[in-house]
Amino acid sequence: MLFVYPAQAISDNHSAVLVCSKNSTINTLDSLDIRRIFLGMNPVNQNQSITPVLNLANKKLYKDFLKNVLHMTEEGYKRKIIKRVFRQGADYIKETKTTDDLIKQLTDNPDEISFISPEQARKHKNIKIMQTLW
Amino acid sequence: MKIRILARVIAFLLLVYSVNSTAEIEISGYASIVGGKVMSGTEFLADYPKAGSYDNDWSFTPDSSIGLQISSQLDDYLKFTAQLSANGAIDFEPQIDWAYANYQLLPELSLHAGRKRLPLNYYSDFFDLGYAYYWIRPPVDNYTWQISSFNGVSLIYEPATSQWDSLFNFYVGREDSNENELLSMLFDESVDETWKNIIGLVGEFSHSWIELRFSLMNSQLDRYRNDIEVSHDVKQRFSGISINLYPNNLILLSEYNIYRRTADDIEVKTHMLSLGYKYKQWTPHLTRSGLKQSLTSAGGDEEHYTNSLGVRWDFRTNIALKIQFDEVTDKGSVIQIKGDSKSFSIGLDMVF
Repeated sequence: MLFVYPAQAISDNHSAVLVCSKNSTINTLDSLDIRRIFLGMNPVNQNQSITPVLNLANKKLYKDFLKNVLHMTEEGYKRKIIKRVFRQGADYIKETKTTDDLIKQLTDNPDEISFISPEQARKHKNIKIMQTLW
Repeated sequence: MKIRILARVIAFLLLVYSVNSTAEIEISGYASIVGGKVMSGTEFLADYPKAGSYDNDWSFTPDSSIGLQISSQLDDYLKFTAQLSANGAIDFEPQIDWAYANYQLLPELSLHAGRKRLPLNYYSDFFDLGYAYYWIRPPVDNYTWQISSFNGVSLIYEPATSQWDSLFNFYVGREDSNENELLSMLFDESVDETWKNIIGLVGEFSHSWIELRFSLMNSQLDRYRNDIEVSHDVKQRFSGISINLYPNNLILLSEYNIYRRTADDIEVKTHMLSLGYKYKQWTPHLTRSGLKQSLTSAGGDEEHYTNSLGVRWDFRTNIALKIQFDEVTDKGSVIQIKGDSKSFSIGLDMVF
């Protein structure tokens, strides 16, 4: 290895699932496409448009998502998104600050996906669990 | 002139909207409000491309700017993006930095056609986006180019890989710059510059805490001084590499670039090395940058270095306050830019 740096262990303090509207036609996504979607890129193994939504209701969950799924820090993610917005004309990734807002956003937009704790996902009948993230 | 530019912008927006009135329009933007003063010396050239400089009086124009980006997704494959900016260094005259159509050929491949920033150096295509970096401005000795945009076509390829994020940007085009700001200032006369047959390739790779970038560009140059042709079809070549590391809270940024214009016996090397440390909302940083032109037969000897010390404070989401001290050593004799100087800048950067 050219660069030796300790790999960060996946956090086991929280688990998370990928969710979307129960009326959505989106099924499971591979990890590569999940990562691409949340970085504002197009998925390679899907034929439909999929829009990511960041769940900021739980800061710890959000940081774990960045670490475990996107493999970057909050700073690094923000830097990457801002550069995509102003270099490639990409859109900012949508954000919701509360769980209720997230559920409503997903319910109203079947082409959108987000992440949430399994406990929260089971409480809301308008969304479906696509897969476990970690 | 300003009214004519604004009229074109408005016409463009109306055209975009009329093509598909149901198109989603996304608006984003940035702003930098920066003041500075030379404490020792006469003048500090802070923005080479726009010839923005500070002198011994406080000024809030050389680094201040505002940019507005408008994107319209017309269908699943086609998007229009335009970025308008107004920079204090050029009297806040509105100009179009970007105006291009983006067609998604494949999930990993898109075609851009129109006007874009020329991606020579790492920060070239977001040079005015102060919020994106911790300095007041990217290290000046690396960003001394008189041409910063081009009209043409770009192919952007972002392959799907599990370990490294990568992006390849292949571009072709040209740029005609009448009364070029930088050259007209340096030569103290009207200079028109054209870079044509531009062909370039940028590769970017990132993984966890590592970013790597290379840049290659060939083109031909025409130049007129007071309407008299002084250069025609002169070949020029640019190559550069950037390595950025972000282990934990440490930040290490670096660039090394070489520019050659063999017919004119010109070779210029620039470098930058910067060390920063992110502690909560604070990022202090220290930077050394330099430009050195190999001595030409005509005596061309441009050579200058800058030491910068500063701190960034992210006191609010999407807003950062910065202060910076810059010490310039200008070693050129035949080609001296603005001489030695020490200056202080303070600024506010934001995105929305």
